[in-house]
Amino acid sequence: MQKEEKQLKGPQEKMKSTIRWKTSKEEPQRKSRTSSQIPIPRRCSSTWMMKKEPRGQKLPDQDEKLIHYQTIPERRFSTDRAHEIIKHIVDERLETVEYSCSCSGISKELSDCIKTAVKKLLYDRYKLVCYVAIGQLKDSVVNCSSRAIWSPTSDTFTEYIYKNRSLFAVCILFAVYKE
Amino acid sequence: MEEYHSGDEVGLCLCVFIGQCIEGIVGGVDYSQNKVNQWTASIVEHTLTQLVKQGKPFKYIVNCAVMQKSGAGLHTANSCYWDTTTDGSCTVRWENRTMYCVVSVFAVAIAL
Repeated sequence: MQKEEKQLKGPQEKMKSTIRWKTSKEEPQRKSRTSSQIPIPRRCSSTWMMKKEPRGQKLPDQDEKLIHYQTIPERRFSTDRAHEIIKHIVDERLETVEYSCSCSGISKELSDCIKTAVKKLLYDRYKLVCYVAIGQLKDSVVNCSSRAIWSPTSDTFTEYIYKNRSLFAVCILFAVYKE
Repeated sequence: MEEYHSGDEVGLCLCVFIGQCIEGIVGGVDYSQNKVNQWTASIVEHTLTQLVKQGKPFKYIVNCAVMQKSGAGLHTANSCYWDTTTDGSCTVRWENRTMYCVVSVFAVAIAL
């Protein structure tokens, strides 16, 4: 170890600095190319900042179209709740209605109402299809059949049939998950 | 036969198959109470099979209503909450001497 001292003598100041040197403990036949003496600073501190993005950060617009590969919904569509809503809307709307040509507008109005009401349940990533058929109660037979190609774990449907003295109504709501 | 479709391209493609399927199953036959269940099921299945054969990335819902012609009226309507750029529907109204047949197909896109 060597000590190097410098003394500056002047009229008013006296400065003293000390540098410590470390010799490497290498065997004599191994000689590194670098200097064998490595200065060790007395105080050493380093700061390291890691930038964390806040949770729930909104993605920029162009990334909004990215699909998150969540093939199963977090909250599965509740057919019971939807059935209650459909029943309430249809019963209230058709209670005093007799079959006439105006049933064309009523069927459109009903399908829109049902869709809007079920939308308010706020099921994330569910697409809704509401089908309404209103027919006259006469000597006729109506046969209605549905089939779908979809994912049974996430997609579902609910139906409600209403009848009064002069008409019948069939309401079917399909809920399809956006995969 | 009357057709109504939404979603432009999607709906147009659907309309092609529906009419052919209906004609193939109930074209030229009279209404029969015993066979109507079988007819509606066949129309729906046949339509679905033809659609799936296209190999497009859609989920399909097919709805069929068959009604005997007896002077009674029938009104159908549908309302959809979906992406209008990728999804579409088609409704075909077919009739012959003794019955009406209304078939609706809804196609919901799957993101790939």
